[in-house]
Amino acid sequence: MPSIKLSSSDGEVFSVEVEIAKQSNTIKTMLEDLGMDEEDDEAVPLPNVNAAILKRVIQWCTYHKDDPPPPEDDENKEKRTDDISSWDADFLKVDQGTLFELILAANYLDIKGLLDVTCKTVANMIKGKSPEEIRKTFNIKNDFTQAEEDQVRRENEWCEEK
Amino acid sequence: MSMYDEQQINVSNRKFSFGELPDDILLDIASYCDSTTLCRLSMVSRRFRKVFSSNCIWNRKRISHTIVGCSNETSVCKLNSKEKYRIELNIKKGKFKLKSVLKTKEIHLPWLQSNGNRLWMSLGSEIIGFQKIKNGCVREDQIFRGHNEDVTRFVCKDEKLYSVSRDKSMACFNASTADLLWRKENCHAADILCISVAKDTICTGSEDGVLKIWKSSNIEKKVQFNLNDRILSNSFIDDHIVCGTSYLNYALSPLTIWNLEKEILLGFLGSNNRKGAGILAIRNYDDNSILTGGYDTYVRFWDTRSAWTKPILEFSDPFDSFVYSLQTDGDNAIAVGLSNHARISLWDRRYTKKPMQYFFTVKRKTPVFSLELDYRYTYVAIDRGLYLMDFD
Repeated sequence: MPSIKLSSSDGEVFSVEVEIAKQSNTIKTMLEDLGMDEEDDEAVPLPNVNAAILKRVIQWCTYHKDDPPPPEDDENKEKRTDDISSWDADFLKVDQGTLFELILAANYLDIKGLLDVTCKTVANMIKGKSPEEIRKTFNIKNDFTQAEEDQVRRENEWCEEK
Repeated sequence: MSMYDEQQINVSNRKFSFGELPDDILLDIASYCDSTTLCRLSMVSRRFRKVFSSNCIWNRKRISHTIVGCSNETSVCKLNSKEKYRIELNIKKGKFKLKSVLKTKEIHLPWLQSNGNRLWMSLGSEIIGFQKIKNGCVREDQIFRGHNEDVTRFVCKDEKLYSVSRDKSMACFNASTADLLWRKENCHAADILCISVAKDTICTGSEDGVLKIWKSSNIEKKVQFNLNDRILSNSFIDDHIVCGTSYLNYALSPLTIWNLEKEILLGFLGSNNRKGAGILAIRNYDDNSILTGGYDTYVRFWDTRSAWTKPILEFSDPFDSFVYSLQTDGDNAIAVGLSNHARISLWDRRYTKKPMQYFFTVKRKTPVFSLELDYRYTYVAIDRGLYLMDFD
């Protein structure tokens, strides 16, 4: 199995099978379009991903290496959030900071499957919560003035009607 | 995406919070959220309000509504996609406020037409003009007088209002001043029931069974066709006129197409019709297609470019009501005014197994004689007045 080296933002180098690394469209493009040689000893720099996160990303890609490519999004369909596999659910039992860094890494590395499942996980964390509960859960500051808050409430009243 | 550049990430191993995720990732997450969750998110903070109310999220939500709103209405352009979603949800759920615009003691067979910010309604021998003001409300500011008996139909075209009446006359008014421009008596031997106006031609149909074509320049009769059957409805389509009769006297179909230039009968729309399956309503859909409806409870969609023997689409009211009036948004929505209980059914052209929604307006046994769609506001004419359905 040919492998390549990936270098994290904090300088740690990981050796990964090419087929696993190619789940990342970013790396795949680098290898195919930019003519990076697989035999090349030089590590591919990933300045946006630190070692801790890259390790997890590689773990995810290794587990999912035989998955069929994820289907294209169908804009007409309501997207489901209840179809997360139990392995993924266990994998994503991490603190919020790690979860968001995984999202950012999946976005940067363009790994659709990982981005989908992490976004679904966040959507599930939000679902059913009131605005105040969302603020508390994610530590977001309410920066509305009283007048703005009243207006926003009026604007969105309809969503609570059954 | 300022927070997403390398520098910041490289500075430390600080953890990201949800509130700091870049817009494109928030939009990815939004694609997994239902409308209630999206609204709650937009109540969290200023930035979230902007991101989670954005048109790209709500347009995607709107696609899942089977009926995508009335695209040709100018008053809607100002609305953002989230507001459109909310209104479409109300339409889908059948949720509206009913407001009475005008009530009458006597019973009438009113006709309605809406153009931009104007609305007209026939009431007895007069036509009343309204200006649309705020929130779909209208203010009466014109009366068109020129007939001795009930106005049966009228049409406003190019700043002029043309009307026909049971007094066998045809009249034309200045639409903005309500002045009578001309009146022609004894146009037919009996009550005139329908009128259509093209750029230089007027077409009238009457109980006397005759379809007449007039030159609008001098109001001289150009040609007439004897159908020997009460003519209930007509409409121009391209260079032709489509005519709907009561279908009490035998012919191939109650719907005929006439060529005005060659002055001949081109053919029939449909076949194997039941006797009495008269056509009460013809509504133009686009340059080549029309919607028809009538006493056999069916709404049919015809395209003059395809075979005339069969409609390209047809559907029927499950409660067996006659079709009195038809309206379309020029897109997928078709609203049908029915013969009983002031009921309106709303259909999606792409899904004709059953109506999307029924709207019950007033508790009276009256047909919906005419209706006009204005997306947020639907105007409904019944025997004793005019109502406004407010979906906002």
